[in-house]
Amino acid sequence: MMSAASLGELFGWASLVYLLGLNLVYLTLNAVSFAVLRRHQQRQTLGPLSTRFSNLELPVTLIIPAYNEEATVAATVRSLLQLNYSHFEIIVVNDGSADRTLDVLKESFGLRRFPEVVRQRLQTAPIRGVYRSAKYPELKIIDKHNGGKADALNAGINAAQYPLFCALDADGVLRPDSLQAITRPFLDDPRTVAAGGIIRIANGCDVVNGWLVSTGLPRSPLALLQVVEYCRAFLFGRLGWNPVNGLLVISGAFGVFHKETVIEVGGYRRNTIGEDMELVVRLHRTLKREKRPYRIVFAPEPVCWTEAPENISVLRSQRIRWQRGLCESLWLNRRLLFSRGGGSAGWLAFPFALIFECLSPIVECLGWVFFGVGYFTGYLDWELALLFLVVNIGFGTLLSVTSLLLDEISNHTYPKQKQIVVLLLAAVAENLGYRQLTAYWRLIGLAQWLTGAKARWGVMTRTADWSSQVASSPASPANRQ
Amino acid sequence: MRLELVIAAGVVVGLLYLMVVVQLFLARLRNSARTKQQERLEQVWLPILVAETAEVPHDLPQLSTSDVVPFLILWNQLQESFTGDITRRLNEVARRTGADVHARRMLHHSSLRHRLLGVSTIGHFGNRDDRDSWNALVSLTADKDGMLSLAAARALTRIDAAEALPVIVPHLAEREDWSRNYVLGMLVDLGADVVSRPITEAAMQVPVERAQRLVQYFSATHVTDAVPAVRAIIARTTSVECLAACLRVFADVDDLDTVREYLRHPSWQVRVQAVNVIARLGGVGDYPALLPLLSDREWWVRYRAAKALCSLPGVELARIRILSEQHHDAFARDMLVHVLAEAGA
Repeated sequence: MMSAASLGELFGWASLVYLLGLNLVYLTLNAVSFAVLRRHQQRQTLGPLSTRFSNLELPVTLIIPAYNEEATVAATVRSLLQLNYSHFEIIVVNDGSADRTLDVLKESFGLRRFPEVVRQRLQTAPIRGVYRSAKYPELKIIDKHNGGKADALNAGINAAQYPLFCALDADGVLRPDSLQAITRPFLDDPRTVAAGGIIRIANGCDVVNGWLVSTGLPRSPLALLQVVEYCRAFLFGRLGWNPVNGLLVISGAFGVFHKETVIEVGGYRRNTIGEDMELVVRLHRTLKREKRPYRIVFAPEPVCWTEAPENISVLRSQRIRWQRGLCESLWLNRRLLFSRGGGSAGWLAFPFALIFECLSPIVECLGWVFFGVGYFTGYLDWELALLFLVVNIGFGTLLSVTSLLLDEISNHTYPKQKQIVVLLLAAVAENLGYRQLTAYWRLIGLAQWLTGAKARWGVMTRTADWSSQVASSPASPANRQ
Repeated sequence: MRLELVIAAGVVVGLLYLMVVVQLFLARLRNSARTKQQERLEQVWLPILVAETAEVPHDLPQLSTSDVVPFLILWNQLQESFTGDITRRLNEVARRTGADVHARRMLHHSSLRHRLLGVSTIGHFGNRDDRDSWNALVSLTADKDGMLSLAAARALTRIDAAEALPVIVPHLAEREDWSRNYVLGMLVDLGADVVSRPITEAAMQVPVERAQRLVQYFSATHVTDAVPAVRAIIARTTSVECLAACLRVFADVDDLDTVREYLRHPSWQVRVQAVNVIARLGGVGDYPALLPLLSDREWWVRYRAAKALCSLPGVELARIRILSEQHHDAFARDMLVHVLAEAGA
């Protein structure tokens, strides 16, 4: 029989092998991302040359679900109305707000009740009314009973008249050419059914009248660490899956979808927390099952900027929610895993998400506790503990810095030398406590999902001190599920 | 042994870290150098490329090898932005600097960027006598990269549209990865006189499933060529997509009897297209045929039928308003109210 010490050592090595495997997979994704980025940039050579075809852009419906967004919604809509795009409509779905969201919209845009018959292709909470503006014919407001974000998005899809729709958060800041960048994959390849882009942290940037004027870094250390984290998550975490059509997540903050395909798979699932990821995984599952040719792609352009929480309790709630959303999305679409004809999504991306993203908090947190306790009690020798540190922190830092390099090559987001130095320091600091903390929160999320505990959204207090628009509103209600 | 492993792992990670940091700063330097090169090129070449005088100066600046790619990007951007005399001037400048020779070499380069740039440049030169480049472009239309093959097709049409169309039309019927919008833009640019016959004749010859892809480009052709082709295709297909695509093309009142038959088609995509044709070509006589469609189970059919009723010549909005109040079906009433509100009535 094995002694406790041997068992402990065995666990130590097992967790080390797991972490090494995780980091090697990430490094591979990194290498793939570099190749994808290079090819993407080469394909963009003729990009600016297609100006003659600008009148052939695919019409898009922008859907903005809004719950208690009285402080920001008018500015967001105003900026969207100025988007540099030939053919689009904006649908704001007031999801039973308890504040003056609807009144603010009515006053700002001269809205009047319109006797529109909304096509009920996806089931939603009852619609109270549709409002339109004589001054802005491309703007439509749907006022409905509260049903959650997914329900609001489905209502927007029902009312959308164009073949593509773009799901956008009410506080999202776009660039004038964001829609062009995100819809380009649909033009380049007609098989494209969904496209996501890079989401960036707006804290520290200058935003005037809803437009990003210049990029900057946040003063809050918590937000600064998230800048590096987002860089990593979006650049190689998603771009690396492009060549094998294995992208499983398109952020709910900004993503474009082929409307009919989304309706065919049933729209957004209403009783889930991670409705954005769940939809994308379901698209893979359904389209693979039906053997239909399709592409779900990630466009490596920074297209949407959003405010990151600077408050630790809000961040904690967010991460717990994200982890639960991940677990739910995978569980609800578990038939994709190793399914016949599941392709890269079923045989690579799904197992990766399950083993290295869904379950990693268990190994990571247990590893930290095990190595910490083992070292201090003398139960484990210091060399093994040191090896754990090198693998965990060393590789983590390496990956963060690599994502900064990817960003530099692709977007050159932060032009000042000082900004890069700060980000390099943040990439190191991120691995000395922050990542461990988020792993712990993710572990809580996993436990909550397993036990079926009720999800809590927390209250996101928007400071928006980066914006000239004063915005401070409680968002994300407890009843939005 | 373990300590050695720790040290080895630490050294590997540390070295990789340093390597990436160095790469990061090198990438910044490269970015900065590229921006400066672009600025310098624009400063030197823009006044020459877009000068108002017709004559190109004799003493043109030397184009260094490292400047060829950014120069050609700038040159192609200008080609896309201007038409007429200035494009001839652009070609003359490019020829005198030897950029055309570089472009021809680029067609066979391993890098996609170079090939795309070469393809576009050769297309803008439009030299019909350059058969080597023509043949290279023909080969590239079959490349598995959709963007490159489409760029090659576009270049061929720029050089000689009449000779290019027999090469590219089979691709139009087959390639799923060619953007419909780009292709349509290209065909519209060429003009209906050039594209009409090759597209419509090919549509009648290929199998129905491929004909459908060509029918979607009929909006770039002459109606007189498109309608006979559509009549022939519609008679031999049951595909919903193909029928819907064909119905969109009808523009002759003589075809209304055929179109009316599709108002009762089991597929709503076909019914809605039939209603659209009636809205465009129909008359007051179609009023009774459209009325039942106000109660169609599909929203789009109800919506288009209501719009069609409002747009039929000889049908007054007052009549529609009365209908919206008296119709026995609530769905039909709601839709009529909606459409009347859209019409501002």
